[in-house]
Amino acid sequence: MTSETIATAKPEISTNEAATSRRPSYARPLLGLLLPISVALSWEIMVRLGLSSGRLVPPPSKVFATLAELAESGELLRHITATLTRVMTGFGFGVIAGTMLGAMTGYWELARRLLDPSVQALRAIPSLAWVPLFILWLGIFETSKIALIAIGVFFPVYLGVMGAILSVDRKIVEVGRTFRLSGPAMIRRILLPAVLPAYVVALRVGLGLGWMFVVAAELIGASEGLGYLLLDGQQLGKPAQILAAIVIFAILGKTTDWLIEIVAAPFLRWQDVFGRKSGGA
Amino acid sequence: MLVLDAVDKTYPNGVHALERFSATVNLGEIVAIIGGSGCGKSTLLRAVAGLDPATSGSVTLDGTAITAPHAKIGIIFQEPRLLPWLSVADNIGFGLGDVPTEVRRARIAHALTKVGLADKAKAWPRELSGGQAQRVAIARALVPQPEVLLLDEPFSALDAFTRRDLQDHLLDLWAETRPTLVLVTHDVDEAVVLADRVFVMRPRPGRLFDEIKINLGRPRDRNSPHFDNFKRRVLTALDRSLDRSVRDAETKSSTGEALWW
Repeated sequence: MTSETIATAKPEISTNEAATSRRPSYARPLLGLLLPISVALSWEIMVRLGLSSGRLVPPPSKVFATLAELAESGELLRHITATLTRVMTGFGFGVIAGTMLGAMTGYWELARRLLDPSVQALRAIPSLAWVPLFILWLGIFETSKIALIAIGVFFPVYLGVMGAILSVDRKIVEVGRTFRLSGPAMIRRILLPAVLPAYVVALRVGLGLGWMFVVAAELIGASEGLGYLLLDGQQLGKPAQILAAIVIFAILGKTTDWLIEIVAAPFLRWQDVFGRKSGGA
Repeated sequence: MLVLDAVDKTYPNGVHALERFSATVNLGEIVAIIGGSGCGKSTLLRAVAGLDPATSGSVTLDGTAITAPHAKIGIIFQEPRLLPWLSVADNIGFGLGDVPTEVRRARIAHALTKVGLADKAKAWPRELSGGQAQRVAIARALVPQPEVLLLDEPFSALDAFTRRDLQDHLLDLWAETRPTLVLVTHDVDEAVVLADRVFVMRPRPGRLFDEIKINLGRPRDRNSPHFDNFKRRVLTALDRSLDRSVRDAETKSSTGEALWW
């Protein structure tokens, strides 16, 4: 029964994402809400009709009641702030490191030969395997959690940036050469705009992994945060609290992803891609 | 004056693409380079552009050796190669790095009018047809007012009608500032309609085979008997350049009546 809950909570995230990536995010959010709302409503009705006790999979009304309760006591805000701070800090570090290293290995062949094999080897290690070491090195408080999240964010960003730079069209770089662009001008006027679409995707993937690792970090040992709410709900047998935390994760994950999309959209209007609605620009 | 002196190019993989190509092109002259595939015509153009410098020999423009892209040399490729993230106007102004804003705007506007795309200034490259995109590429190359403009099969990807239209268009644009044009093509019609001189090259290794002067006034009538006559000469030279039994001509014949051995 519990696994079923997670299964029904997950698809609502992915359908939302699919809908927004295919059309401009703000275009028709209502259509994306149709599926999750109808699933929630039918579960509510089933429980109300007595077809299910709703003990292990509490109905939406009960989840919302828990949410309201947590919000009222200020607990919710405290947990959200803790988790959001961790994700954003880890994301920040991961993005900075991934971008710099990825740009270096993408642009400069010697750096690629020197560094990339080691980075790829590190990437092959399941990131959670670092946890014991991080706890020994950095303690059980914030630093080790943020380090874990940063590692999760680092690899997709690194790969995305390096791959994007390597796959910039030689023909377009040649245009820059014929107009005698200097190194920095070539980066600013040709390489940066050319890699931007792939970079935005890398950031979104990185952010998704950041959310994944924050849960791992908070499940391992935390006294606040949404991951702590999950664990607490499991240990005290409060499925409504677990579901509440999951719903908050879905909302936060979706919102932060959407923010990246919104910020990037004006810079990517020029794209000539399958996903764009015709008659744009 | 553009001087090519014994330009020779061997690629790192050992392919001898170009063998001792020498020619002198005067300012304002239009030269077409024609030849079968693999005869080194694009290699030659890239050497002149400074993109892939020659292995030996030299390219000099007004006494300056060209080993890297030069401000006075512009190039138009087979594909438009517009930057998809810049509007049409910004693409045209791409080569005007350090020009003041007002001058820049004026020159872009002028170029847009000249290529007949004034209404497309704010459009994205993806919204243009193939012919329009290539016109933007021509405008982009001409706006910095190069002394030499190189064209690497610029119209080969277009349909016959658009191609003719753009050939006439190119001549109009050329007439304004009269730069030197060096055009690589595999289209005999195109060579005869545009060029003052046609260089016929032969492959393996790529070298100059014949040079044909086109003594026709402009505008040229594609249907006149004179035009046909020159076309036939170029075609004959082209056929002979691909015939292995014909040896290289020692002396260049300006009439195209190459020597029989």
